[in-house]
Amino acid sequence: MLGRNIPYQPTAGTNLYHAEVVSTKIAVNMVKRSRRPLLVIGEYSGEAVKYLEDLKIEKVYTPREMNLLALIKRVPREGYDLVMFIGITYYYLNQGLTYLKHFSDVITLTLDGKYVPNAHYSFPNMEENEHLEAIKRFRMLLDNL
Amino acid sequence: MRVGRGVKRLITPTVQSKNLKIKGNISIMGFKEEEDFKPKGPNPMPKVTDLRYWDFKLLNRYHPFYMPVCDMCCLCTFGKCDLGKGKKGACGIDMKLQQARLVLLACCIGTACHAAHSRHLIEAVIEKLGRDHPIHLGNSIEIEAPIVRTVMGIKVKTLGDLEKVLEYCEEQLTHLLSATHTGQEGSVLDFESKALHAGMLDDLVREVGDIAQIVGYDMPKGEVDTPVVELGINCIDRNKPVILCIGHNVVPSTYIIDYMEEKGLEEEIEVCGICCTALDATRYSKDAKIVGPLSRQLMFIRSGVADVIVVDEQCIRVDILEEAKKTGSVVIATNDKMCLGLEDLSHLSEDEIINRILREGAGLILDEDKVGKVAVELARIVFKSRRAMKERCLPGLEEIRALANRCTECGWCNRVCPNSFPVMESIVEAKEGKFEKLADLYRRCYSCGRCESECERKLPLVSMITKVGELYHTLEFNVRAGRGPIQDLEIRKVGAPIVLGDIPGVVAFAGCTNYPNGEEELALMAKELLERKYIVVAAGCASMSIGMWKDEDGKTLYDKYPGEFKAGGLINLGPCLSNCHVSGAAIKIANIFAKLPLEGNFAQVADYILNRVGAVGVAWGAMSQKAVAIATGFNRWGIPLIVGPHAIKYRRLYLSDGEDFQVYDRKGKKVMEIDPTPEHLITAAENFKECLCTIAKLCMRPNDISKGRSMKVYHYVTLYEKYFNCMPPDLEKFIRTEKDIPFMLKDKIVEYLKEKGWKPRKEIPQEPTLLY
Amino acid sequence: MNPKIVVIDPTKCSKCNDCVVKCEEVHGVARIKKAEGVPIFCMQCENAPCMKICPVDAIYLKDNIPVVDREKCIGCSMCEIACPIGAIFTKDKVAHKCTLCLDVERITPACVEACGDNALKLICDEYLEAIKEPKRKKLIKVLSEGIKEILY
Repeated sequence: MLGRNIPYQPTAGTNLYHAEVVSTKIAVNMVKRSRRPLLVIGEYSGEAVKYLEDLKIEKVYTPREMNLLALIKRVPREGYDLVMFIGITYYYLNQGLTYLKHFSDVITLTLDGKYVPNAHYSFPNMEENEHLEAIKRFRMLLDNL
Repeated sequence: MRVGRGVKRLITPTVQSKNLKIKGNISIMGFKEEEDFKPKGPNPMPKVTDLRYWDFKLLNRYHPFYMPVCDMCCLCTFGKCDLGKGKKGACGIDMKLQQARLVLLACCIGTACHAAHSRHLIEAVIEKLGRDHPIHLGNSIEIEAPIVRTVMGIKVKTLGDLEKVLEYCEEQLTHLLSATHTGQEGSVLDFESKALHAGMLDDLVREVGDIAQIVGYDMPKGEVDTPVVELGINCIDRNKPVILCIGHNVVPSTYIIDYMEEKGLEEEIEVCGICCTALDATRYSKDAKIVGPLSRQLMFIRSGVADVIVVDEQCIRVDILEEAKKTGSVVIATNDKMCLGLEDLSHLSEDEIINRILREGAGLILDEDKVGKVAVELARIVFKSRRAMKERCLPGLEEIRALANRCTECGWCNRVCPNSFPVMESIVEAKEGKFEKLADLYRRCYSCGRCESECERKLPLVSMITKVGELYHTLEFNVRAGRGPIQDLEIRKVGAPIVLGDIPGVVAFAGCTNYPNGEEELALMAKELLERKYIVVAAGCASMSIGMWKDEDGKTLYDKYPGEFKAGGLINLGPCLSNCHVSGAAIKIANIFAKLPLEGNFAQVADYILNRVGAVGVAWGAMSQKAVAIATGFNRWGIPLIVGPHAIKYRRLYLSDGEDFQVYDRKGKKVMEIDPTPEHLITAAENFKECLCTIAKLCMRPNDISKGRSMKVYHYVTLYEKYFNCMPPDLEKFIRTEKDIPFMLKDKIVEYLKEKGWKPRKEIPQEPTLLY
Repeated sequence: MNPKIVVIDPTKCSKCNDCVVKCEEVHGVARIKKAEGVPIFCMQCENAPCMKICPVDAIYLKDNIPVVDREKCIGCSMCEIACPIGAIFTKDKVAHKCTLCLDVERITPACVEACGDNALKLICDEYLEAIKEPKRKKLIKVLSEGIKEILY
């Protein structure tokens, strides 16, 4: 079992400021409290995407609808206060996120089953089935709001 | 008459305004100009700040986009300083500045590398041929060094002239590097301008180096039909003594090849190479073979096929001695950049050196003409004793299975793999004797060996992958030897179709092998573009990777597509030094097709390229500091670039907002809002599908005529549909008027535009420029 | 126990006051109190005594977190007496308590983000379960191995 808040790729961190681990419940609460959330869905989300596709949250599919970095550059200008990411190449997302971490007030939350240190908030490292359960639960709790 | 540089600058405006000509011999910093002295542009030999006005134009549109790798600065003892959460360091630096500074530093490292490489080549060539040896690239190339002409404002006629170009670069580089010292530059844009300056110098020194070796070693001078050479691990005959050259500097290889030819040993001994040295060796002699790009380095060393490993400089595994020891190969270091702690044996006689290396397993020879005999004779001796053990360097299948059974399935190999490949899963299957997954890794892995150094049980994972891979896959390909520059005649033919947009684009594949998913993807990208009649050029490891794919008839792309610079042509320019011929070709288009004077006219030429020449660079596996210098060099010329997902760890991209751009229309004499083309100056793509679509998009230019634009739009749309099953989500930005809509897709696009509420643009610039 | 609370790791706390300052910045009055330099956070009790004792029902639940209705509060200070840890108090005739920033436009509590020592964590029951499970498994393993040793 992996350490729950050690970067999945152990060198992915930036030394000082790393993501806070959150559970699904807190993640749901963050979505609920957000004025304008955005969900960014990558190509490698696997089965998890089934539970997120029809959520009533603004969604962007990357790279199909937009290049990830163009999107990251755009997000602060468009007034989103919470951006969630799932299913994007681990190191690519993690590196791209440092832009939002250092140069914006936008809160970032990653919903992958791997701890992403350069987000503000991240799910912990999880086994595959554990992650799928977490996403299902995330979905269920959001529906119950 | 002798005019110093200051005097020249003083008189330049006068000369320009009054159209004066000064006759006689004029010498600027030692360059003799015998023709009429006709300064054409405002910036010959630009100093650090001379082209700042151009850089700021670029940066004003394409903003630096920073992604820090570390929250801290640890470059001085004030620190380490925490720059996170908007904090400043002890010297006052903030996070953005620090990133810009590090990018400049990386560019300086890369440029220094190429400059030192070129310096070494020139010294070797001058020693051989003399300072006054003329530079002549054949009758089909009159503009012998377009970058030197534009940047320096001079023509190079002799090898000695090249040396002087280097002097200028070395001086400028010192200034640039000094700007990264604590407390030097306080503006992000100025750091970036300096990085762009470093990139331009990099382009310049690469051109100098490549011309020096083309002239000095009689390499192809832009010939279209260069010989097809063998590429791939399986092309190397294990039953002969094998000399492996790794690195970038061809000089030692030439001595090896010369010695072999002199002794008639071509049939008896295999000379092969990894990385750019290999490309250069095949330009020197078609008998040399290419093992593969950098990605195959550790695999091939581990296989033990090489009896003698000759290393020169750049991108070599620095643990080469340790690795060679494992297989009993001997190592010869030949370059002052890479001495490996070895004793310098240069002063000894060749036979003495051979004896010492036989005893000690490795040696340093800085006197390259001794390397030829030493390497060849060593290979013959070492081969005899190693012959029987060559097959035993890698573990056998049974042993691999036994090794795999020691795996505790901790999963750390997957976590340290740069691409998160399923290393553990493939080892778990190997426990049962199922090797398919391991074999698949062989095709995608670039053998960095990080999994191995992490492994608790010390499993030789790279060796295991190599052995299984060799049994399942045969890496046997072809590549056309690097041809060097593009001929003037070819430019004459394609200049108009490129500028008007009839050829959908020129795509240059550059850079290293830090690929997200193996070499093959690069070949597949090239294939797609060639089928669509783009001009595809490649240099460095990328040009080898493009050869590493075969169709069902066993043909590589180099077998299928011609080596001519024309629509549907696939050109291997040569090693990474040869990337200079990409910008070189773009400059020549400006000069030959548009009659733009080059000398000292950098900004005008770059402005022309940015607005009119649909060229795009792709550095899919960019890894080294040299690659970032090359990329930044392209950028200053106005050539946009796409990098692979790993390359955002360089920390900086140049991204526009994707909204309308402003240009000045020289014809209409006013400032105009135009379509955002090319949209970004350097951007990244997550996977190869996105990369292909982005290539098509970044080939668009404001100056495209409708026919050309509609063709570019056609490819953009059809690529998007092929790979994403939908219309490009930003298509409306790139259709200026109804005339830009390709006929074949008319209904679809019109419907799409209606949905988006698109309106045609009222005006399109006739002569767009950023210089106003 | 309430589903969500802010917990502090006192060994990490450097007593710097950043959380208190941030709280004051966000809410006007700092809702975090300090004991010997270490901040005390409201436990967000499930059966909150403060809420029960309020004579005018000025404390209501929002997402299971007790929140003070400033309009209703009469500033009687009964809650202050009822709270076992002193996490609610009256100032300027109105009661103040931590709401995990639920009553302002924020996605997460401000203090957690302000803490430079990483001493504050936003915790919920789920998280505790997640920590508990592996520990339980480990314990069972240790115990079973101990039994094996005794048996054989």
